Amino acid sequence: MLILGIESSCDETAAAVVEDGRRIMSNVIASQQHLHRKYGGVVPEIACRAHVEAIVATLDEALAEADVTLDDLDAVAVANRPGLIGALLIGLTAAKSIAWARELPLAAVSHIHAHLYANILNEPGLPMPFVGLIASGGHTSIAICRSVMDMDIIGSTTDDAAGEAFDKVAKILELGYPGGPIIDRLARDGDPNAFNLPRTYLEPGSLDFSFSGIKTAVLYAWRGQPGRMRGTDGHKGAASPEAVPDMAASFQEAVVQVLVDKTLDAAGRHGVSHVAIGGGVACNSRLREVLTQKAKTENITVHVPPPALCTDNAAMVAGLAYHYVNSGLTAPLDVDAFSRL
Amino acid sequence: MAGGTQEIESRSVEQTLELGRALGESCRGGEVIALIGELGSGKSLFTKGLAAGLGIDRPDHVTSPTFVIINEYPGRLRLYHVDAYRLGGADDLDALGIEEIIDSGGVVAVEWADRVSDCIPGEAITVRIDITGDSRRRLIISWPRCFRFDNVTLL
Repeated sequence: MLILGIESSCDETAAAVVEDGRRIMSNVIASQQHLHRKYGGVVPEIACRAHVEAIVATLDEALAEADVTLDDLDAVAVANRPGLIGALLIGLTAAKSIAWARELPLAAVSHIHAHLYANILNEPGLPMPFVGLIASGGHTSIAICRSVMDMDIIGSTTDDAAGEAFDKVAKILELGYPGGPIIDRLARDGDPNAFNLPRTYLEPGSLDFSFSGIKTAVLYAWRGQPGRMRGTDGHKGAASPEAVPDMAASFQEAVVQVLVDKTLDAAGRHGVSHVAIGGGVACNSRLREVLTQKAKTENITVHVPPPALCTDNAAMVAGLAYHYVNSGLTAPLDVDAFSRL
Repeated sequence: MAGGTQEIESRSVEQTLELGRALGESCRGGEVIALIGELGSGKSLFTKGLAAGLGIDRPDHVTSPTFVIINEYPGRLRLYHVDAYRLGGADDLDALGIEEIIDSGGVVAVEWADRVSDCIPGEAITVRIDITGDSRRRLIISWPRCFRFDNVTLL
């Protein structure tokens, strides 16, 4: 079964052709990152316009690269939740148009579920159940996957997403956008213990996250606190260019530690010995390193897809949709887009 | 705007939540709340309190709207949590249908409202948050004549 998948939930316009939920025949991604850089984040109006401009060429390229035409397709798939409404609507409208014109079944899948599926796409023999950590600029969730179609979210952020914290801290440190790769790179030359930043675990046993406090803590440590400038460590209130790598490393270490601890805690409490990751933050080198190290001591195997399948892509959408279509879960042509899950 | 103003010092996260809740409990529907304050000042935190006062289920799960721009929560009154952090200006919010949302009868909380001031009605409630210390914040709440709000006393 050949499925054309479309993904447009944020700032990547992506299309892919996947056969039988396994074989990636094409995986095309048109990034808009350059358009959003000067704003320090994705600007919805710009994102929507860029999706409109890119979608047809991206679809053409995905079909051409797979060496197929619309006539060869068995279904069309799209991620219709969660994400930026205006952005989701572009991909959804394109998918509906093709489904309607070609009388093909339409599958509307969850972007988060698709990120988890990216692990199965990358490694078809991935043992189930597994615990998945999906962390990006818009989402931070822990899920348990018992089978391809049986996935439950068991923890989520209660305020900022992990990637959002990277972006906002990069803004405080005036490093540019997107913050994740920049902080990852700078942190390599920094001391992760230079600044004492909080790790927020919420109530004992909680699998939820909170990354708002660390952003505020970075702000204090960087700019100094009004009315209470004297801190216990020498750096406090002394924002200097030389301290940037130290702050980047300290911040990254704190975020990574919480992500790793909660993910492994989830695996432990559900008696699961396999952990998978996804989302843009899953590209972070320190996260991969610490997760792999710590998991080893707990006899847990970590599965890490290549960056192209971690960040937003349409292959994961087309792949997951195979199972939707096989389970009879097709969507009507009036299916809507949703900003939240 | 001849309503009222209260300047109050919050000494903790809990007190900021309490102030938000008090404001939420005073809402009757149709209010626009303009939240102004720098990164990390507690705008989203205040909104969690506001959500509690609006009778929203699990207000602790009111998350940052930075990524999706507008989050919506059903409650005694529907809360629209808007974030203008990444917007270029009022035009962007217009394109997202902010006028319809404001006219919907719910309560609209707009973070970084100073970036989209053209979208904020004259009769909006303004909450300005300044960082005055580690967990201390000075909040200045201003409301229009048509809004009834009793000054809050924090213990």
